[in-house]
Amino acid sequence: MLMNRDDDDAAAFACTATEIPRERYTSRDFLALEYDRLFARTWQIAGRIEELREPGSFIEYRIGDRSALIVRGGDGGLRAMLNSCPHRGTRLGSDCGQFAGQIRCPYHGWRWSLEGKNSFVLDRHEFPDMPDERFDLRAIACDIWAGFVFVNFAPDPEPLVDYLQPLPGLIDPYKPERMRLTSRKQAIVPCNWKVVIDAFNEGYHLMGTHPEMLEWKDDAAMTYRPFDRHSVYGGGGEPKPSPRLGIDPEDVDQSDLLALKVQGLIEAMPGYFTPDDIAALDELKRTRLPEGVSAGEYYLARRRNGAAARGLDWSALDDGQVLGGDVPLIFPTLLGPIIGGGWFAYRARPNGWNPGSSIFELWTMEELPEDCEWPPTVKRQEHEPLGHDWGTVLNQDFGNFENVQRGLSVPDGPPLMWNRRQEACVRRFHEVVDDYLFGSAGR
Amino acid sequence: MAVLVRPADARFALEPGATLLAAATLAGWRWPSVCGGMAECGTCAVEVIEGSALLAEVSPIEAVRIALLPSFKTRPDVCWRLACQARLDYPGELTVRKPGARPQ
Repeated sequence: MLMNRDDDDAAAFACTATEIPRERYTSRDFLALEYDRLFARTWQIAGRIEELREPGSFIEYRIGDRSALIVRGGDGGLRAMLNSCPHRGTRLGSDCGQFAGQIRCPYHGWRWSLEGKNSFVLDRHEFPDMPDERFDLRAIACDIWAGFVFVNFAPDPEPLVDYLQPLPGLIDPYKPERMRLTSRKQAIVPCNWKVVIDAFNEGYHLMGTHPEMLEWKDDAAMTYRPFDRHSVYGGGGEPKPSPRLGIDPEDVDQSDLLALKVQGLIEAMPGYFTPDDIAALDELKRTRLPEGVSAGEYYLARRRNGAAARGLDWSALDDGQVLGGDVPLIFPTLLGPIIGGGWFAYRARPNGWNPGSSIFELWTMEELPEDCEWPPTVKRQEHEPLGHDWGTVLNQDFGNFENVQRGLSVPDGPPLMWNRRQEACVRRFHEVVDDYLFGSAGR
Repeated sequence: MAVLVRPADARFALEPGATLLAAATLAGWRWPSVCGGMAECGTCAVEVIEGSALLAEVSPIEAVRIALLPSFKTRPDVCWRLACQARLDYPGELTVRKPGARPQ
């Protein structure tokens, strides 16, 4: 699919089996390659389907200088088109909103149907050399999975379902298409977009950045599954102290560990647990466990029963997915923990032409029962200040972003390295970036 | 002057002016800690069962870290101290609870 790895750029920027050039995070030339060779031809998440419910509703997806307009048609279909008037190039929609039956250019008043077909050109006869189809908006590939709207700027991309393998088989049991946004926050962060993706793509940083989690999280036991393009990592559901603390599991009470975990995450990752999870924790604290039933078993059963009472069908989820979940990376821009009932997803993209700046978003989602009416879509919250309280865990990660970028920018630093096991997903992410930029021959 | 540690049910000597972590290390104990005694990680924290008044007051840096402990959040009524920061001020016997702390 791509050129051979014979490019001069490859020598300067490509990862080797052991080393990662720092310039990948700091060079404007590398960012230009990412825009031209990665973001120009990979499927990427543009928004959530719930943002596009009514005919005429639209969202804009911008990446670098590229911009797609995704519109719900009068026929109910979803289409993406180049966000640029074929006449003088004017942008036709920004951010998100609602077209009143037609798309209209604010400059010379040309109009298009919600399907992108031209319906009005002022003084059409004065463009005699132009065939009719040149007045239509250029179509961009657009498809849906897991409630996400994807676009691909390439002229004839591989089908989305092929691109996503093997994620649908692993993630569909969580019913992500039935999840709705409960909050959506955005911030401009002072680091390269890959610093953000790297930061959430491994559990190796728990000891350094989130040490309070070690009391109940066995960070060393987390498993990493890098696939051809995407990845999933995670670590089972049962809380267990990190072996780095040398604590004998028999010396700690399983109910205490569960309480530490759930209570800790309720405060540290606001929006990750539902009110029912909090009620379940309260019950666990107050309940005398029946003979032979562990706290873990009680909590698992309580979570499953609570979900059933809310009309959620979790029969396809295994116990690990109900208790601990998975952390998928949907290459290249979205990752974060998904668990029975919700998703705590981070998205990161480059911010314009500054390699040291990126657009970070936190999307919290909760699962809705099958027969439930879809509630109003939450508003996008733009540009939270860096000092915003995101909850302990994200505050700690944010604390690293600027330090990492500043350190990476120090001239003459040696190439970076990766942990072979615990950073296997980080490594695969960079290998796939390189596949797009330089071809896969070098791997 | 000594510290009794549960659930190991063992003692190590503690002199006034020394921190719990330093004294335990000197006595050859294994003690949970991942930041090297810099009040950064909180993993050395102990529950003081008896003798908390013998320890020097909690410093601001220690208080900040204790407030982040999941254990403090689930049981705020307990006297939590960081072993790397808590120094013995007055001679006497302490009893603490610290799973994972034991003589090697």
